[in-house]
Amino acid sequence: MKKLKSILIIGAGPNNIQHGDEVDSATYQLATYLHRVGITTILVDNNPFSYSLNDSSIIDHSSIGPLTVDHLTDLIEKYHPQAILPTLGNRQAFLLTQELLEKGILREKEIELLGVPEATVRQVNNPVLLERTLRRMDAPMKKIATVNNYPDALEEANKLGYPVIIRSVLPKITSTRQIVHEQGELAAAVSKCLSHSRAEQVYVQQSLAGYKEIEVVVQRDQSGTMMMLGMVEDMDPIGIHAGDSIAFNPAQTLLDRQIQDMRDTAFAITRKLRIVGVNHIQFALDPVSDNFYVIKNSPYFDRMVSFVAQSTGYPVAMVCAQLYLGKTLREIDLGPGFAKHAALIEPVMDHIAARVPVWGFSSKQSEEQLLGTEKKSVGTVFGIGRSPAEALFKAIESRYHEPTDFHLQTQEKLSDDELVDRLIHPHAERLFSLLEAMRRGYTAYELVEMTKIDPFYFDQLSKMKELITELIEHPGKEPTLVKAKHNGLSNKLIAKLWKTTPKNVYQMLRDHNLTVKYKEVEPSAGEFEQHTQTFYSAYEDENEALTLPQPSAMFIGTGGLRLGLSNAGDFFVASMMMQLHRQNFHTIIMNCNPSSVTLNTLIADKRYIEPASPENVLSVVGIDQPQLIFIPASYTSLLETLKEYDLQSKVIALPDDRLGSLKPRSNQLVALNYIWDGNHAKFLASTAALQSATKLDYEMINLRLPAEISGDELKNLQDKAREVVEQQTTAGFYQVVFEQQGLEFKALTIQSTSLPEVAFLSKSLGINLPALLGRIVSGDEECLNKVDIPQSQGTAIYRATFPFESLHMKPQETPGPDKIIGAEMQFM
Amino acid sequence: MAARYLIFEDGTIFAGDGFGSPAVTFGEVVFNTSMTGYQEIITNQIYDNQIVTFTQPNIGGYGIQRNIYESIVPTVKGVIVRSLSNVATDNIRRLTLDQYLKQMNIPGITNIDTRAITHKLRDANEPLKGSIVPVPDDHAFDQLHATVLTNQQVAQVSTPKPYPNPGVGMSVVVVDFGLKNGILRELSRRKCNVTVLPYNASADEILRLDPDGVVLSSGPGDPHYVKSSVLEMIRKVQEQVPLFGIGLGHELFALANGAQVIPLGVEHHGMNHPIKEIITDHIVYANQSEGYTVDWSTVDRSKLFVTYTDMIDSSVQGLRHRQYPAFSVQFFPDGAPGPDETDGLFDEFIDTMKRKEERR
Repeated sequence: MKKLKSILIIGAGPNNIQHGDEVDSATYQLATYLHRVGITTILVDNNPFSYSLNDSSIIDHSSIGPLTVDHLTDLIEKYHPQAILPTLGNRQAFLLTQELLEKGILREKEIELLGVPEATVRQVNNPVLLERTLRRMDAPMKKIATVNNYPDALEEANKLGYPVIIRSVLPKITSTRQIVHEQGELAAAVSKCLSHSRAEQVYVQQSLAGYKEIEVVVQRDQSGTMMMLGMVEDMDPIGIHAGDSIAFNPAQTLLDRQIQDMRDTAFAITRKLRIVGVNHIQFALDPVSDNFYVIKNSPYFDRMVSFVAQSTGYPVAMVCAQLYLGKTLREIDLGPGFAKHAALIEPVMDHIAARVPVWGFSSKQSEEQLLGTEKKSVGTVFGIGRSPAEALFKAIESRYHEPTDFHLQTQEKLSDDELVDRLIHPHAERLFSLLEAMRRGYTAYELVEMTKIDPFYFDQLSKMKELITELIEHPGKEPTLVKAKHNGLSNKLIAKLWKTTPKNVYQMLRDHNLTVKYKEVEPSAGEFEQHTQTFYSAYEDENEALTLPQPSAMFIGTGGLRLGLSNAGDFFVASMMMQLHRQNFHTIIMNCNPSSVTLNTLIADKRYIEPASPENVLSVVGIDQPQLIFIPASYTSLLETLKEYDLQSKVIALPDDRLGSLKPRSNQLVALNYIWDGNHAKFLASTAALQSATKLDYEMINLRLPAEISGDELKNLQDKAREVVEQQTTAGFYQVVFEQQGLEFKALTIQSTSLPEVAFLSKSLGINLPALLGRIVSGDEECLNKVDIPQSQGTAIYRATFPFESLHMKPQETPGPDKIIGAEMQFM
Repeated sequence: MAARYLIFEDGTIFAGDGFGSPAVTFGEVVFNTSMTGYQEIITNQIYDNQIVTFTQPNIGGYGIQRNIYESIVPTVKGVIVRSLSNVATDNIRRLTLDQYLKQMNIPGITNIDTRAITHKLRDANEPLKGSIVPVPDDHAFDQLHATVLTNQQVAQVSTPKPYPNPGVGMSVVVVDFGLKNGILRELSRRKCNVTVLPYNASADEILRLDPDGVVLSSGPGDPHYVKSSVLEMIRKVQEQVPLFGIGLGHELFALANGAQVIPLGVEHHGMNHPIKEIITDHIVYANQSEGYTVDWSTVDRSKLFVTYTDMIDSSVQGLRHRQYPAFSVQFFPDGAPGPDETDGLFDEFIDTMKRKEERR
C-alpha cells in the first residue's frame, strides 16, 4: 500500500442540475477511511450544503474557497499534499487537474494523481482525444464523418442511412445539432451548420436515437483486476436524457450475450485508460442488430455510481478509498457484515431498483416539460421491490411533493389527439400518458412502434393498469388488497381508488393481519450471510429487520433534491443524525434519494429505502420503537396523519418548508440569526441581503455575513431581536429581519432561518449548527449554555444558483428562494 | 394463475402461483444467483432432476429467443421465480417463457418468497428435495417422501447416437454427458469439425475417428454414478490426444487420474465468484454450476496440478495433467450465460491440438 501522508480532494461545487449530493456522500465515506488510516485529508469546495466540508472529524483541512487553479495552488503551497484526488468533483475536477498538470505544479511539488493517469485526465476532458483512443482499440463508436460541402454530406448520409445528425465543427453558437430524417431535410441542415462553423465544416454522424441506453459501472484495481458492479437500463430510448428516464437496476430486457459484450468493452476501455477505482460507461444498444456504441465514459463518482451502490449494497466508496491507496481488491476486507473476499464478489440482486426523476418545473406549461437530449429533472428518487412493477410503484410514491394520484385524472382529460402528441413528443409525465394510452386500448406493439420503448415495459405497465382497474372494480375486497400491497401500492393510492381514507385501508390491513416484512439489500442475493442494515419492505414470508438496541432515533429524509431546499435538507438531517449517533443513539433513516448523504452507513445505523408514507413510518416505529422521530415539516400530511396514532415516540418537525418569504426591497435588509432552545437564545451572526445585479433589490438569496453595521447598532438591534426570539415556543433557528430606513432599522418580521441559510451560517462560523440543535432536542437542555458560538473567520458571501439556463426557463424578474438549485460561498 | 405450493420434506410450505406446466414435479431444489440468461439456465441439462430457484427477481423479460438454447429438450424439473414477465420479442415465432415451459412440460411457480427459499437452502447445507404441487396436503408430502430421484442422469440426457457438427478446422470429438450447446458454439466459432458421441463411447470408438482432440462435456449429477468404463476411456484417450474437460467432464477427468470428488453442502450456481488463475495470479469471473467439487487434498501432484481456484470457497476450479496435453475446468468457459473472460481456454485447446499435430 502507498504510504501517503496527505491527500487533496477537489470538491464538486454548488449543486446543479447535473449533480446532487452523491459526491458529498462518496467524499464522506472516502475521507472517513483515509482519515482512519492516518492520512491528512484536505477538501476544497464552495458548496455551503456540503456535509463533508463541515465535519472536522474526518476532514483535517476544510477549505471553503473557489474551485480555481489559483486557489488549489494556494492550498498546495499551504498544506503540501502528497496526492490529489480528482474523482470526487465531477468533470470540473478533471479540468482543474489538467490545468494543474499543464502548469507543471503537480510535477514540481511531486504530487501524485490518484485514480486516473495524466493521459486519461486529458482524454476525459477532450472528447476528440478519447474518441481516437477508443477507435484505435476497436471499441464500437458511432460513425461520424467531417465534410465541407453538401454533395459530400449527402454521400456520407446515404452511407450511414437516415436519420443522421448534422452539427457544426467548432460551432459559433452553442447548439447546432440537427436531426435529419430524410434526404429532403439534409441540404438546409448542412447549409445552416456550415454557416455556424468557424471551420466551415460539418459533422455527419449516425443517429442513435431510439436505441436502448445502458449504463455500466465497473471497478478496477491497480493490479488490473476488474469487476462489474452494475448494469442499469433506461426505460426511455436514446433521445431522452438518461437522467430524465426511468431506470432499472438490474437491466431487464437484455440478452446475456449483449450484456457480456458490453461488459467486455467496458473492461477493455477501463483497462486502456488505466483507471483505478470506478468507471461509468454509457452505451447505446440497437436491439435489432445487437450492435452497440460507446457514448460516454466517466471515470468518477456520479449519480449512477451512487445508484448502483445504494441499490446493490456494495460499498463502492469504501472500496475505492482503498483502491486509491494502492490496495488490490483481494486485499480489501469489507468488515464483519460481509463474507471473506466480498469486495471481489460481483454484486447480484434479488430485488429490483427503479429510479424516477423529480422535476423542477415552475409552471404546468406543456412545452417546458417536453423531454429531450438535455436534462430537465433536478432530482431523483428510487424504489426497491421484488418485481419491476413494485419497484416502480414505490419509486413514484417516493416523489412525496408531487401528486401521488398517478396523474391519472389529468391524463384522462386529454383528448385523443393530445394523448398521441404526448406519446410521440415525450413529456415529463410520460409514464402516466403510457398508462392512459393502454387504458384507451392501444396495444403494446403499437406503443413500442411509437415510443421505441421495449415491450417488456408495456408488460409491466399493463400489469400496473390491470391492478388499478381491479382496485377500482373491487373496493374493500381483501384479495385485491393483498395483491395491491404485494405490488407496492401505498395505502394512499389504494384509498384514492377505493374512494376511502388511507386510515381505513390501514385498519383493513390490520384487521386481516397483513403485516409488512423487510428484506435486506445485500449484494449476494442470499448466497452468503451478509448484513448491510439496509432494508426495503415486501409483503412476503420472511422478515429480516430486527429491532435496534435503544436508544434509537428515526429520521425521515428530505427525499429527492428539489428546488428551494436543494441539498440543505440532506446537510441538516445528516448533521443531526451524526450528532445523535455520537450521543450513542442508534440512528435510523427512511429515505428514497439514492444520492443522499443520509443513506451513508457511517451516519445511519439502519436504513429503510421507502417512501415516507404513514404506514411505512408506523411499521418501522413498530419494529424499532425509536424514542425520537425527526420529520421534515414539509411532510405536512405525514405529520398530520401521525398525530392520529399513539406512537410512544417524540415527533420533532425539521423546518425544511420555510424558505424565507420576504419580498425584495429597495432598502437594505439585515437579519439577526439566533439559536433558541426554549430558555436561552444565543446570537449566531448577522447577515445582510446583497443587492441583485439586475434589479438593484435586496433579497435574501444572496447574503453577506456579517452585515455591515456598527457595533453599537448591532447591540441595539440585538436587544430588540432577542426579545422577539424569546417569545418563540419551539426550539430552533430564528432570524429577525430589519429593513434600513434612512438611519433607522425597522424590524420587519421574525421567521425560522431557512435550512440553506443554516448551512451557510454553519460553514461561515465553523460550527455544525444542526448538530447543536440535535443536542438540544435530544434532551441536552443545558448544552447551549456551555457552547461558545465562534466568530466568523471573515466576511462570507453566499450566492444562490438557479437552474434557469439548464432548464431553458425564462429567468424570472426576481428569482425567488423557491427556485434555488444550489449555492456557492466564499470568504472575502 | 392458479395457486401452487413449493413443499419440502421437513414440512415447509411456500405459497405462490403456478405458471408453465400444471404438472406435479419433484426434484432437488437449488438456487442460481445469475442476473442474466434465464433461457440458457433453464435449458442447461445440468439441471436434470433439479428445480431451479432464480434469485434474480424477474425473468421472462424478452421471452424465448431462437438462438440461445443450451439444449433443445430441457430436463429441468421446475422453475421458481419471484416475478414473471409475459413478453415475447423474438421476431419469428413469438413465444413467452410461460408458453415455452407449458410446451416443454416444465412446471413453474411465481409470486413466491425466493429470498426465504434461498436462505433455507443455504442454511440446510445439504441437498433438499422439494415438490411443486397444487395442494400441500398429506398426500403431496407422502409422494414427496416416496420419490426417489434417479442417479442415472447422464444416461438420461446424453445423446443415444453420434451426430456431426461439421466444420473445416480441427477435428474434435465431444463426449456428451449432458452437453451444453455453448461448447458446440465455441468450437464452431473456431471452425472445428465436431462429432458428438454418446457418454459411453469407448476409447477405441473415439480414437477410430482420429480426432485432433477430445472434449468431455458438462452434465448433470454425481460423477460417481457415471459408468466406470468412462474413466477407463479418459485414461486411454488422454495418452493419445489433447483432452479438455468441462464441468462434469472435469470431475470425471479428476476421478480418472486418482483424485476424489466430494459433494458440496450447498450447490453453487452463479457467475460472480472471483476465480484465480494460479499461474498468472489473474482474477476472472465465469459461469459456475456445481454440486460436486474435486477434493484438493486428494489431487495426486505427480499427475495433476491445480490451475484455477475459487477465491470464495477455495475450491479446485481447474486441473492440468503433468504428462499429457490434458486439462479441465469446473466452470463453464463457454459462458451462456455468463462472462466470456475464460473463453480463451478454447483457443488454448485449439493451440494444444495444433502443437500436437506439428509434432507428428
